[in-house]
Amino acid sequence: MVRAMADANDAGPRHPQFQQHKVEEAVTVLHVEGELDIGSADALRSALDAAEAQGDIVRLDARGVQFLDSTALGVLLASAQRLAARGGRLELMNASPAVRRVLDMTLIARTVHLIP
Amino acid sequence: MNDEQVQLELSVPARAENIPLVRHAVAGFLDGHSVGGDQASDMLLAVTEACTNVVQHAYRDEAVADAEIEVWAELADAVVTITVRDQGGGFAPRVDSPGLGLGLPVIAALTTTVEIRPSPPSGTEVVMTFALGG
Repeated sequence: MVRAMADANDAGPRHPQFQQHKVEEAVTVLHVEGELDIGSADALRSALDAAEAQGDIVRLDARGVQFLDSTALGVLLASAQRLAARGGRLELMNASPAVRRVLDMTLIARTVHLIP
Repeated sequence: MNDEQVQLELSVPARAENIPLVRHAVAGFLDGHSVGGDQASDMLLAVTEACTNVVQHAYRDEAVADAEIEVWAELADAVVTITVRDQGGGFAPRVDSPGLGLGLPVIAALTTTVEIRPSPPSGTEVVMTFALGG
């Protein structure tokens, strides 16, 4: 029976084949703590530059971020755009409700990938 | 002058590293008067944006040795008013702005009212109000 089916397949049209591979993405996680504003923007920019040099996907863990203003948002946006230009992305995880509110208010959530 | 009016007044050199100082002072003022949560967060973000505008825009054309940010906060009749004032060169936009230009839109989104007006002789003041409750 099995043999007969194989013969039938050989004689018929080629069936599409599908293979699934699980690929581990290389993610550079950047833990950030403190208040992000114009006074810390340069330090944030440097930290993101260093993380971007490690790979195309940077995940900023914002659990320890107590404050974020539009200057810091500008730094995040620039990083997200640089990563996107080379096929990567900037992810933001563990953002507090206050940080998320700023992201929503400025529509930057369209550019930065939010992870719950 | 309302009997229940409470005020905070401070002045710091107009440098980026001093903005957290202003923010923390206003946070202390708000906390001391039981203003917290999202409302306090909105006020702290707004005052930060206003101070950032001073650092980035107000004093760029002239070397002002004593360039300062002056901040007043007052609570009266369930309204918090925060004023940020400079004596710089006005509020002209700059093509080389290091920011996203989101400061004023963010302030407008966070405040109940906002007024930007000249502060003679040459400066600018941003008067932001926040109605409590609601």
